Formats: sequence, structure tokens, C-alpha cells
Amino acid sequence: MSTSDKELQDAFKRSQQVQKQNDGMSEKANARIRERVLAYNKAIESDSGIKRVFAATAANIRAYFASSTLRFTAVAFAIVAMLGVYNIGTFQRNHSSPLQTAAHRVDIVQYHGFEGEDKLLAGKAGTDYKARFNAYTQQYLESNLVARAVTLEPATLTAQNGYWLLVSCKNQQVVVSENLIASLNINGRIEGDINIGTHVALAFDAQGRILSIKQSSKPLMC
Amino acid sequence: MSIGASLQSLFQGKREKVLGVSERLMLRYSAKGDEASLAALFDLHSHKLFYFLKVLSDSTVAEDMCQRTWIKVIENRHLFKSGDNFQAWLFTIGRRTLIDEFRKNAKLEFNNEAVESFSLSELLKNAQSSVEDDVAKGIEKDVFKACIQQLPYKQKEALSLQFEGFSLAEIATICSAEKETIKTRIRYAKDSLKTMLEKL
Repeated sequence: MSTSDKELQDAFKRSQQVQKQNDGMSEKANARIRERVLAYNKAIESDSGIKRVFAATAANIRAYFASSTLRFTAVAFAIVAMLGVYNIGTFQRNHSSPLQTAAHRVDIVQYHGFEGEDKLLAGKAGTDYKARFNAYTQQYLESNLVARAVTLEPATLTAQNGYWLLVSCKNQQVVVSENLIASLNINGRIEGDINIGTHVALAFDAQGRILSIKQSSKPLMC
Repeated sequence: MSIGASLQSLFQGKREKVLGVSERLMLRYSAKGDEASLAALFDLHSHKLFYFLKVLSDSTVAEDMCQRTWIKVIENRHLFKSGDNFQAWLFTIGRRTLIDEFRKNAKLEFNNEAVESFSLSELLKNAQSSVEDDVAKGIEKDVFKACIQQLPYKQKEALSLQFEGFSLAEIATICSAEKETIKTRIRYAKDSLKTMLEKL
């Protein structure tokens, strides 16, 4: 390296130092990156730790069930358990006290609302929560997950007391919270003049969440 | 202890002596995933990596790329082998991450091989303007940075790596180019840089 090359090298090092002094942002950026990188490492490590525990447990279980006698016992237990679950289901179905409406006998109630909104409403006197709910709905509706509705169900609006109570052909009672109604409205997901007795089409996504409520031109066909 | 085991530990000891601090830290991190080793590696190399990426882009992009590079180090730690140079490995990941980002955003600066892409007067004008920006911001002016940033992408990349202490062979590996090509890039870069520094 000639002298002039050496000078260039020194100038480079000096420049690095000047940058360090000049750019307080660089130092802050470096500190931020450090924090995030170490947090990521921690998360990866704890995740792989859990996987190791699961792998060890699975290996133990596999070893435990290796004997044919235990395998037979496990199959027998599974059959008994399945029968038990079926009986419990039947019992509930026969003994539940279904709600009666003018047109439908209702067995199942679904509640659609924002998770934890009760707590939010209790804690907030202002309208801040509404903005949060609307932002959530908009974000959710715009996300790639919501490409299209996977199921459409006809229903009738039977009550409008802040929340909406809709009854479907499958005797499902669908309660839609006031805030979800407001958010769907703001995002243009409620179409038509919907009043009590109006037939509607409910669109659900793959997770069973309501995407839209539209006034149905056809009467409820059950 | 048997003679075989003694010989083995002796060889291992010699092998460890050859390894640098960073390489030993990385091997330990690769085996244990411990935070202390990673933090030490970060403190040793992150500032240099950040400066390298900043010369090739800007502060915002450099921050993002620097973080992504370290995330890749974590995720690919098992790929680091004994005998590898840690800093060369790190800078290779950093360089590729930055190029991927440029490609994603359709920025083609990194393809700029042409030496005469800008006239000297244009380069000087740009450098002068960068220095004036520093003065206007009330910070110490950095003529060298202003000049090196005017160089074509591949030239400043090769030159920055040489200033960081990498050998020609290492730079060739990092940049996936022939040694002779790297030599030429560095020569052109130095000539342009010297001319600019003299004129400013």
C-alpha cells in the first residue's frame, strides 16, 4: 500500500469516527437494532426450547405405547371416550331450553363482537374505543385473509336493541354487538334498509366471522 | 487420559488458537444459541456493518438492512463452519440483503459498473453539495464520505470492503466476482477518490 493509499485508509477511519460523532441517530439506530436482535434471539431460543420439551415428551409417549397391550388399552379407551362425548352432546341437545321466536325454534346462540370490548367499554368514557374498533374492522376487512366470503346464510332480523339479533334457517340465533354493527356500517359492510323482520344474507369468512350483512331480495327459504 | 485423547485435545487447542475471537464466539453461538455470544458479536461488528451499508445506501435503509442481516445470522447460525471468517460471512449476508432490497424496489444502482457514468465535475458538484449540507446542519463536515458516496456502486462497495481490512480474495468472495475485477474496481475507485479529494 503506497503512502497515498495509507492516507485514504486513514481518511476512511476518520470518516467512520466523524459519522459516529455527527450522527447521533446512528448510535440510536444501532442500539435499537441490538435490542430487537437480542429479543428475536430470545424468542427463537425459547421456541426451540419448547420444541425440545415436546420432542422429548413425544419420544417418551412413543416408547410407552410401544407395547401391544398398551396399544390395545389406548384404542379401547378412545372408543369409550368417543361414545361418552356423543352422549353428552345428545343430552345437552335434548335438555336445553330452546328460545322460541315467532318463526323459529332456536338451539344455538352465536355472539359476534370484538374480543374484550366489554372491558374497553367499561374503562373508556369517551369515543376512543370506537375509533379503535373501526380501525380494527377496516384492517381486518382489508387484510389478505379476507379474500371472499366462504358461506352465505339467509337470516331474519328479529331484534334491534343496540345489538342486532338475527335468526337463521338453521335455528341459529346470531347476536351482533353494537360496536361491530357500527364498524361494519362505517366500512360499508351493511347494505340496504334493514329493519326488524327484514330478510338478510349473512356472509361469513372461513373462521366464521361476519363479513357483511346485506338486505336479501328473496324471502327466507328454509 | 489416553495418549489419543491427549493428542486430540492438543490438536483442538492448536486449532482454537488459529481461530479469531469472533470466529470462536460465533462457533459458541452456533452451538448454544446463547445471548452473551451474540451480543458480543454484535458489539464487535455492528458499527462497521452499519457504516458499510450506509455508504452504499442511506441511514434508514442501512438500519433496516443491518437488522435483517443479524436476523439472518441468527436463523442461519448452523451454516457457519469452523474455518470461516466471521466478518466476511456477516458482510456477505449484509451485501446480499441490501442487493435483494434494491432489486425489490427496482433500484439499479448496484449494477452501475460504468466508470464514466458521471463526469468529474458532476461528481465534485454532488460532493460539494453534500459537504455544504453537513455545514448547514451544524455538524462536522465529512469530505471523505461525501466523495466516496459519489463513486459507482460496485467501486465503493469493493473499496469500502478493502478499507475494512478484507483481502482481495475475501472481497472477491463477498462480491461474487473475480479477483482481477475487484482489483480494477478498487483501482478506479481510488483514482476517482483521490482526484475528488484533491479538488475539493
